[in-house]
Amino acid sequence: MQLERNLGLVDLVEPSALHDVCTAFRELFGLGLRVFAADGSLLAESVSDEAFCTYVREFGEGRRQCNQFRAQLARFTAQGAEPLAVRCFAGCAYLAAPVLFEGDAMGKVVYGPYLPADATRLPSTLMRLDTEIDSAVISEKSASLRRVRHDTLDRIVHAFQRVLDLILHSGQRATLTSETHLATIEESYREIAVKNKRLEETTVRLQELDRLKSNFLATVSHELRTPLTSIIGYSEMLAQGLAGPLAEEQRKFIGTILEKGEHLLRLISAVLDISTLDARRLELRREPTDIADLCARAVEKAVAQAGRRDVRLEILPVPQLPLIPVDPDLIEKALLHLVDNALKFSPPAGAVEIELHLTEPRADGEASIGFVLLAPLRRFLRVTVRDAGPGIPEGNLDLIFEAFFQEDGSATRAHGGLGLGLALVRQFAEAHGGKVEVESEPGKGSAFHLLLPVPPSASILPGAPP
Amino acid sequence: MQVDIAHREIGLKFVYYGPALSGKTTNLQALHRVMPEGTAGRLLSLETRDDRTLFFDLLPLRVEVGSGLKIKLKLYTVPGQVIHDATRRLVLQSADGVAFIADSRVSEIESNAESFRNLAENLRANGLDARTISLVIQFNKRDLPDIRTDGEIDAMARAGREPVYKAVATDGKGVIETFLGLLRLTWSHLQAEHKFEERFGVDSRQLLLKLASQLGLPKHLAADRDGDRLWPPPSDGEK
Ligand SMILES: Nc1nc2c(ncn2[C@@H]2O[C@H](COP(=O)(O)OP(=O)(O)OP(=O)(O)O)[C@@H](O)[C@H]2O)c(=O)[nH]1
Ligand SMILES: [Mg+2]
Repeated sequence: MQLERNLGLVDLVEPSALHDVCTAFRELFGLGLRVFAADGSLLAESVSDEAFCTYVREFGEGRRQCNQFRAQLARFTAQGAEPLAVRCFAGCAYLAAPVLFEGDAMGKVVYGPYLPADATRLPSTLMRLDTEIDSAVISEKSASLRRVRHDTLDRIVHAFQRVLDLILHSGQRATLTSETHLATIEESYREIAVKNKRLEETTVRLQELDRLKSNFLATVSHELRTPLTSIIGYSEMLAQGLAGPLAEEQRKFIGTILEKGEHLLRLISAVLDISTLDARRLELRREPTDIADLCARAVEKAVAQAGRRDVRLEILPVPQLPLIPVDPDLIEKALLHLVDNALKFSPPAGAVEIELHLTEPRADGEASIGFVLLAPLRRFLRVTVRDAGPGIPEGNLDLIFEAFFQEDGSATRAHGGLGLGLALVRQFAEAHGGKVEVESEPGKGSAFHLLLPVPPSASILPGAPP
Repeated sequence: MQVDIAHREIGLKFVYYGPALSGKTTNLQALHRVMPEGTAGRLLSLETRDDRTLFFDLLPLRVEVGSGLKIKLKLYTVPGQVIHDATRRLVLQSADGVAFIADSRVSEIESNAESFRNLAENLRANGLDARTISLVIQFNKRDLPDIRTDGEIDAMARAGREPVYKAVATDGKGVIETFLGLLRLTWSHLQAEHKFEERFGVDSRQLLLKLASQLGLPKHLAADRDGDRLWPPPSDGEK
């Protein structure tokens, strides 16, 4: 659809209706009129047969000149907005007035024939048209021609222009309405068709992927678990002495095999968990949650572990914070992973601090488009877990959130774990539209920031006094 | 944009965009009220139901700015209701400038943002770019309670890159400022790209002053004064 397309008279008015209007005007003012489109084609006319004209047209030359003049009428164009008066060979006057719509000339209306009220004589050439022409008849018939005063004519032209304007306006409204309606339907249909096709393709692809993935997972889990179950089973039998009595040393070794085997089994389950946990597929059970509360709960659960390692674990004074819609179970797990991680890497007698903070909306580098409108969505509640551990070398900062990433061989042995915790924290954060970031200085410690988006409508809770 | 060199006419299209009921139609009505007949045509409201725009509103403006140069402006509104997306996309076709009318109420923050994202998407679908199109933002309904504070909006406006205006469209407050701001911005973009000054032998500053006065807009807004001067547009540092 082109809204900018210039609509012509023909697009905007119904010629038969226009004809009726012309007729009504002629009957009211006794003045014939013709409406032409911009290209000169006649759209509507209502002209009565004047006795004068009929008489002149009885003569061969009169008819010829009259036809010629009528053909010319279509081509008269007034310059600008002012009407232009012309007279025919027989002395009748016509007025060509442009049809203006929103300042554009869209055609013209020609009024006439008439005689100007101040016209006294007909052209002398008229009598020389034909030898048969009778001056008495001419003056008798011309007396019945409509005589119009200038100001009357102005008023008629003005009145007709206003009626026409109204008709054009309604016509424009109707045309635009139906064109927009049609175009909207076409556009909606096109959009739906494109989306349907894309959806179908995606569904097929996803179904295929899903099938492959379930197959793969089933196979892997089977392949990994089967031998492991045997290992655990045989170790148990050995431990129970089914293969004969065991020396103390042997029992201890088998106990270790059993313990590690079970640990491995749990890890395999975690691996399967993380591969099924797709951030986008994670189903969140969101409810308005006090994050400070969740922190307190996480600390409670970790306090024993902290005690064992002689690490001080504390929450710094909490500012006023809004309740935010999160899945409390997942976020608590994420906090536990972060705290667990911090405790693991803390030196004895060190401290792990948890800090909560509401970030201000800020421009990231160069202000992006629509910042004023979009930025309010970028306010975050930030939970920082800070430790005084060995820190993380710069080059590894991006890697630690990858599943299975290990800082280095020695750390693995010293701290255990498979590097899944931080990957889970990241997935949980992203599932909430948030993120997790890390700052670290080797030798001094690390700070992990869990950022959860705060919806603009969230209201501030009265927090504990600092 | 349509340029008719022979008739010395420039046709520009502005679109008022924004979420449902933010006051787009009210902006056009307020403009229509202050503009003299002859300059502004009839305000055409296509298909409305319960005061909601179903297709669009159209306010045609026509101004002679001297040297025989005519500027024809067409101001459109889009329907803000989410379901009329196809219509919004159609109305946005070949727009030269966009005024984004946001609702100042805190409860509407999310729908403002959603509508803005929708604008960016529909501009892209029309081969336009939200980063380069002339765009101003209006925070309307400043008269209501529970709105984002002036301080908040000012701070955001300083950080953002679009000119921001505050308005009470029902009282006509801020409506002209928004319109003139968009006109100024669009003209400076088009001037940079199409060299109208050279092609038509006009002076941008004179032209915009003339435009403002012919549109019946208050002199003080067109005045060469810091803050709301018409030409050149205040640079970011000056805002
Ligand atoms: N209080 C107040 N009300 C306003 C203001 N501007 C508009 N309104 C009201 O908000 C309602 C919606 O205004 P419209 O101009 O029709 O909104 P719109 O953006 O065109 O809405 P759609 O056509 O549905 O997209 C009307 O009742 C207006 O009177 C304002 O500045 N203050
Ligand atoms: Mg509307």
